[in-house]
Order: sequence, then structure tokens, then C-alpha cells
Amino acid sequence: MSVQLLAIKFNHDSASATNDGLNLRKNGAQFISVPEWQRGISINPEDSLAAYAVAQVHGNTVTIQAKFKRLVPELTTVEIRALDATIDPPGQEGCLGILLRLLRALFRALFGNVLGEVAARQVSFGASGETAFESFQLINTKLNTAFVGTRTTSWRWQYRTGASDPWHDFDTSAHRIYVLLDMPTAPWQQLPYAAGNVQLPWTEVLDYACNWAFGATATTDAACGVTRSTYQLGPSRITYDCPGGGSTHYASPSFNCTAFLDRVRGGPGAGYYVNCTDCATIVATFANVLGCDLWESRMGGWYFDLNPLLGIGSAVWQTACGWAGFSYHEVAWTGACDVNDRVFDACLQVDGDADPTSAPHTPLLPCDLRFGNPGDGDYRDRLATPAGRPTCDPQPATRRRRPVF
Amino acid sequence: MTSEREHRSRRYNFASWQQAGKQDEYLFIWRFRLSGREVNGWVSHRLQSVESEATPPAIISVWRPARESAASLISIDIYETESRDAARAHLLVLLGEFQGPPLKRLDAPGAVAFSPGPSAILFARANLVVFVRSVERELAPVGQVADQLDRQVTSHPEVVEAGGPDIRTFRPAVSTRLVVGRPIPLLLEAQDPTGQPVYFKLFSRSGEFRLEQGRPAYVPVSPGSHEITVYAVGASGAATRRALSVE
Repeated sequence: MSVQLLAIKFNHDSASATNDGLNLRKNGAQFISVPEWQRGISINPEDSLAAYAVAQVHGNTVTIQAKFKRLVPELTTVEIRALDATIDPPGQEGCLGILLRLLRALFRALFGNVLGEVAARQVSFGASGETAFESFQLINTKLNTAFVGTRTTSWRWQYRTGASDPWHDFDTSAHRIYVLLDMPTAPWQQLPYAAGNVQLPWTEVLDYACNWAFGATATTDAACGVTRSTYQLGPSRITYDCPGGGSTHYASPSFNCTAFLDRVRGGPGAGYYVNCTDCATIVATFANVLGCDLWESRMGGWYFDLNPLLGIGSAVWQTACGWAGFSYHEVAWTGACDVNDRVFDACLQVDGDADPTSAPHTPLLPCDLRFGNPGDGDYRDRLATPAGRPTCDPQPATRRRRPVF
Repeated sequence: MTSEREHRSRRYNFASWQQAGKQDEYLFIWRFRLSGREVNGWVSHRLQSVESEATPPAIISVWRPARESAASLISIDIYETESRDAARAHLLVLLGEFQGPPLKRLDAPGAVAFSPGPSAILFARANLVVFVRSVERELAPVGQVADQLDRQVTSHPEVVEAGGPDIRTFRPAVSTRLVVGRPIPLLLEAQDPTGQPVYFKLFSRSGEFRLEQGRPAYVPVSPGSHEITVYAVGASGAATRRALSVE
């Protein structure tokens, strides 16, 4: 082997995400520095993390920057490229190799890297024996048509000394790539790009959000996936805070995302109990990291009566905890968080049939449901009793996105 | 139209406990910290300091039993406000964060306390608001824990001869004559031998305290000679004391 891959930068322009990766951190305590892949440090895909926002890179040429070292002094200039290691694995010769090449297009479509391949270009080694960070274009990427998910991109690095010379394998690299729909929205930020900015998107949040919204190509689908998966955390991980009167455990004053992730992984977190504020905050935060645009907002100023419902973690149709009503309720909400905007509520399932006030009950997880006016048959009517509906008003002044910590 | 705050005030009869009132000894806590050893039988699992524009600085913590029982867990959230009145106002804010029925008023712990049932207690003491909750499937004795915390907050710490924080500065920020009701800003600085942060407890029998422009201020409630005692408490719990006379 005459050449070594030293490092790769996916996020080489922190001011933009139209041609490269997003600014990221791992969690509340750990920043992700660039280059994301470093020789001797990055062994597995999870050691090299990058995220792309489909709506930002769509139609653009995505680039990476990579740095190399020569191991023999005779090499001054070489051509370098990287093939998709999934569809072009090394060492496939003979009939199998021919067959694989014939099937490559199909394999690429089905199994290929979301970041495709690294287009060949010439690089020169300096006096130190290393190249500068050289920019490479990515080809055959799937970012234009990709859906939300976490993928592994594996590259098989090759060099050759002349245009008619054979290519030589010299390294492989593997990377975990998060595919988002669009730029993360608040509370997530892209700037300032600094280790002290805890609001940069966390890859530990992306691990869950991309899984919960896997396959989504639209923000509504992604938000519904997050809402559904959050609700399904009950009763094994979390449940509604009946013993404690329904107070927030994870979202006051800000979103204790560190504790929530601990809880989802099976740790103690901030405990077993959640309320509506927690659920609204979880949904908005995990959906917005994928490029959705949800808010946490309240309804009801002081009190409204409830229809029977299925609280998170409960299998019993009843008003929440047997209380007659809520002093307020909070959900993830679109737009102005008003009557005509859409609700995503992971805290409870309402009765989705023609009469939500009594049995039989048809469970309906509120996802992309219009809030509505009394009598419209929308979310408000399903949540509140006929008498409670007039006081179950949207409170758009409470609209917010809690910072994460 | 009634605002949410007005409704909440009426719901909890805020007027009856809004004002701190006169008491035998006034207390002010500044830059409060938890070491993780404050509660007998419990060890801290996670302590987080949270600064937010919307609320007073807070310490959010989760504790597990020192012996076994993973099914039991408590959370202790402590908010440090600018004054006793501000603590009560923040207590009212927190009471509005419960979706369920109104909480019941308790006689203790703290100066004002509320509870939704055996799994949670919320109380204000001096300029602190303390929220203790049982947060796992197995009910934890939050009443005992809250009482213990309240005693810790109100107690005069035991002073150590050596190894405690060095109180380097404790004096009025400006030379001034004492006037009842007029705040006297205090300069207060201490260094722990370990380099860890220090918190302060200020006591007086003749005047209130509040935070003004980021530093404690003393507000005399009666004329005459006044004495203020400060304790600097280090990360290990070791405390030192200084007294200041103001006339």
C-alpha cells in the first residue's frame, strides 16, 4: 500500500449545508469536531458521523474534503477515488465479479451508499508527504430521493498513478449518515458553530428521531412517526404522571433531553412520569431536528372537562387519571398554534369515532389533526366534553420551543 | 378577561401567602449548590445546573436509594430566586404547571408548601423554591426528604476550624448610613481550598435580603444596630462564618 487516507471532512463549510454536512454535536456534553473521520480513531461507522438535509442539498453537488499521505517518496501526484464498498467490494474477480458488475446498477439502487461514490481527481503530495485537505465531488448519491433514516456509507479508496494505470485499493472507510428532510428548526441551531453551543443538533437525538420517522419523505409523516413512537414509549419507559398531579418532569424550565435519552435507553432519566408538556416538547424537539416546524403550545386557560381517553402508558379508557378535566393541555402544534393549525399529541389517544364522549371507543392518536372549533369534529371535540370545548381554547401566546440541555 | 396568572392566584389564594411577612430570623441563600450528600439514605444520580431566561436558576437532580431498590427514585429541583417574595411568585408559577386538580396547602415543610398527594411536595423557604417528587413506580418518602432538605436550608452550618472556604470579602459595597427599607449592597467573596464553587447563607434578625444587580443586598426592617452573619459552604460541606455589623 503506497497511499493512506488520513482524514475526511463531511461538514467542511459550517456556514452552509447546501453542498456538505450539517453542524452537529453528539449530545449535551460532546461536540463533534471536523474532520469527522480520522485515521486510527474512526474504526466503526458510529465513529464518523455526518448529517445531510435533503431539501438543502437537493440538486446540488455534494462535496467532501479528504487528506492523504504517501508511503513511498516516488509518488508525487496520484489520482484518487472511492467506490461504494457495498456494491463494489474488493477482491471480486472472475465470474462472480462479472456478475456483480452487471448487477451493479440494481445493487446501487437497492443497497448503495446514500452518499454514493467519491469522484476521481488528482492530488499532489507536499514536502511533508501529505496532501492538503482536497475537495472531492460525490457522484451517484441518493440524497435527492432519500427518505429519513440512518445509513452506513462505506467507501473503498483507490489510487492510480496514470490515466491508463490500474486502480489500487489502499483503504476503506465507513460512516454513519443521518438523512434529514430539511434544516433542523428551533430549538436546534446551526450557528454559532462552537463547542459551547448546546443547541447544535445532537446525533444522539438523531439516532432516535431518524428511527422513529424512518422512511418519511414529508414533514407531516416524520412528525407523525415521532408522535407515534413517543406514545409507544408507554408504559415500558414512561407513563402519565397521575400520582404527581400531572406536572412536567423533563421540560421545565428547558428540555432535559439528556435525562430523556437516558430514560429511553433504559436508565433512570428523570423518572417514569411525564405530562403533556413533556410529550409536546419531546415531539416538537425530535421532529424539528428532522426539519419539521412544530411548536409546543397550550390550550385551555384554567380548566376544561375531558372525554374518556387513553393516557400515555394506560390501557384504560377514562378521563386523565380519573380527574374530571385538565387545568391546561399542551401539544406539538403547527403554524400559529390556533384553531386551523394541526396538532400532534403523544400524550394521549382520543376517541376517533362519531361520538367521542362515550363508549365504544376507537383509539386515535392525534397526528396532523386540525384543532378546530367546537362542533367541527376535530381535535378539540375529541379531547373535551361538549361543555368543556368552549374553554378549551388555543393559547397561541404560550407558543414556544424549549431549549435542550 | 381574567389572565391565566389571575386565575391561578385565585385558585391558590395567593394573596394569603404572597407576602413573606415578618419573622424571627431572615435567611438568604446565594449561589446554592447540592453536593449530592444532603439526603440521608439517598445518593445523587445526576445533578444539573440550569440557567434559563424564563425562570430563576435551578438545580435539577435525580437521586436513587443508597441501598438497592432501583424501582424507587426521587427528583429534587431547587430554584434560587432573587428574594423571598420572588420565591413565592415562582411557587405560584410552578403550581400552574400541574394539569390535574388544585394542590393541597400544607403547614410544612418550608414557609409555604403544597402537595398533590404522597408523591410530591413543593415548598418555598427563604428565596428558594424546592420541588421534591417520587418519580419511579415504587413510592418514595418525599415528605421525609423534603423535611430533611428544609432543615438543611434553614440550619446554621457547623463551622470548621480548617479546610473550609476562606471568606475574603464581606462588607457593604458602599459606605452608607443605615435607613430602614433602603437596600445596602454587599460585597461577598470566598474561596474554597479545593477551588470548587462556594455557596452562601446569610442570616439576620433585623433585616431582609434580596439580590440586586447580581449581588446580595441587605434591607433593614428596623432602626438601630444590625448584625449579618454569613456562612460560606464549600463543595465538601465544610463551612466558615463571618459576621458584619451595620449601623
